[in-house]
Amino acid sequence: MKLQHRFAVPASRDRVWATFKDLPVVAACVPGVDELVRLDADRYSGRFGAGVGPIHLSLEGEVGLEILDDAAGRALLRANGTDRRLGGGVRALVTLSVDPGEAGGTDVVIDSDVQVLGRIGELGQPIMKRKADEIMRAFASRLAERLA
Amino acid sequence: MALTTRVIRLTVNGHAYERTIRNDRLLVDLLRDDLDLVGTKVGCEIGVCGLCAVLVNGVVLSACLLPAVALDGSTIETVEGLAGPDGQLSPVQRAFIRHGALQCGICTPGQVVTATALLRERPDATADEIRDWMMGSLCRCTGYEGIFDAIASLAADGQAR
Amino acid sequence: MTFEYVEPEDLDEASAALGADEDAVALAGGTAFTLLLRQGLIRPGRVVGLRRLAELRGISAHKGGLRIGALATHREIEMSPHVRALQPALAAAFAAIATIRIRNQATIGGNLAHADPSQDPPPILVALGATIEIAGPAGARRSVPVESFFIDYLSTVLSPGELILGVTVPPAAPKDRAVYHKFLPRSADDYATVSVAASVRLEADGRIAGCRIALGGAGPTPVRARRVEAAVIGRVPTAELIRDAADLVRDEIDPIDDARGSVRYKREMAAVWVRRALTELVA
Repeated sequence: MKLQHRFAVPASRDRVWATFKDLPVVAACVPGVDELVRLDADRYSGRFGAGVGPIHLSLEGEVGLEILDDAAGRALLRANGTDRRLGGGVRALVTLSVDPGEAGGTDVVIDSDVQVLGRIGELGQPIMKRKADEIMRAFASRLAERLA
Repeated sequence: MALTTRVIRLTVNGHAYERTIRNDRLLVDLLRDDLDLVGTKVGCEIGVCGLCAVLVNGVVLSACLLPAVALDGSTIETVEGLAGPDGQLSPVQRAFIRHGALQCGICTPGQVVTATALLRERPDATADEIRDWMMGSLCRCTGYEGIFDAIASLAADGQAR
Repeated sequence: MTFEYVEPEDLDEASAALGADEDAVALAGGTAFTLLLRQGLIRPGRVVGLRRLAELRGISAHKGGLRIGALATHREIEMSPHVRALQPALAAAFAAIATIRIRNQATIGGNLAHADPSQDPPPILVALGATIEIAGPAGARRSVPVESFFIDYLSTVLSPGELILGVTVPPAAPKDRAVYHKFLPRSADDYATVSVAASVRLEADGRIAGCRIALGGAGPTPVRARRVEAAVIGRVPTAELIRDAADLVRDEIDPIDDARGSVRYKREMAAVWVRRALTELVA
């Protein structure tokens, strides 16, 4: 499932970029992320929970920073999580890009390539995309708050 | 530790059964695998095809959607219970044969059980009522005319009983 | 891993059983429950079977209003002499659901608690101004209008320990009319591409005194088309007024692209069917 989200952050490109390089800070802005533990310089383990009504996704896994291009303002994150309760998991490759935007702000583009494995996929792409949109909106707004 | 099995009692086709089942056991699996009543067929497993139709306390339901644990004390009729003790086929069963209402037979138990329930509740069922009740019993072979005619013939002369 | 199963004898017991365990789910008819369980989407630790709760059963009429117990099956509602006499559109909407076997098993309470926006009952209940009675721990009771009951896809305002007691439909005035249209161009499943439930109250001079329109399959929850309503209330309904008002629904709904239709198609069909529903009601 390929997703793209764009939003503007009212903070300078350099400040936004610096924030993105700090994985625990980024993770704190994602609703549902919990217990982030540093494994090494670029890898963390953690939990992620999300729900649709009575259906609860509870992932445990890792997220790692694979590529960090300061000059271009691009980062590539790889995340893997398994849901031991429902059986299945999620694998995501996420590209974050920052560019200077209007009025001294920053345009952020997040491209995600998400593979949903197992039962959760039964929800269907339309529902999952909608949920992903919801999470991204919350992420954008928390990020903006943090940088304000 | 929570108890995840239960003892349930069911009367199926007039016989009393007592079984210890896992709480997530579905009625269709209990009938077919635990009681060897394989007349009730498994089709779509989501309640829409009609193959697993059974009567529970006189009401026609999809056995694939019924957690057996919630049916303790219920009276169940399956296709195996329709014929008489001497093996004589029921009026619905005979009408199906007479009107060529079956070919491969996979949907037939569900069709016959549903038709039986229909004619019990509405012995002089109208064409619309027959279609409304039977539209949820899918058939890939017959084209439905024979099934409709079989049921309509019984409704017409009130011979369903 | 299977679940613990309990069958409480009264409401307080049921409420306590549901509230004590965050993994507990209530079992009414069992259609949605069994599907979610078999799909592996839910793994309840405890299932609370409601079948012994007599307070949840029955359909009664009082001064033109209806009171439908949470465990009333779709079939009971469809066939109820009270419902057919007082709210024929409600009976028709329930008759439109799935097959006789599903209607024999599924219940109005379970349907509302499941909160799938493509289901048939919610839009017509919204259009008729129905309210949901909720029972909570230690005898707590509250009522919520149906349209406020749904928060999101599969999510309602029910808190842990709460369950639906029943649904109340207010009396219809003599000039009230309602209709439910289920636009189902495909037969692969029984959920409409888009559905429209509408009720109108007409004045003696033909003016529309009141109007409620709700759509299914049009967003994560049933959608009340308030802009369309505002465009027709107080007016004499002409074909042009209805067409222009119905067009407003396109921007009021938030459907998704899926196998039942694209966003664009659903917006178009919502306008078509709102127009048809209103035209029929004022004829």
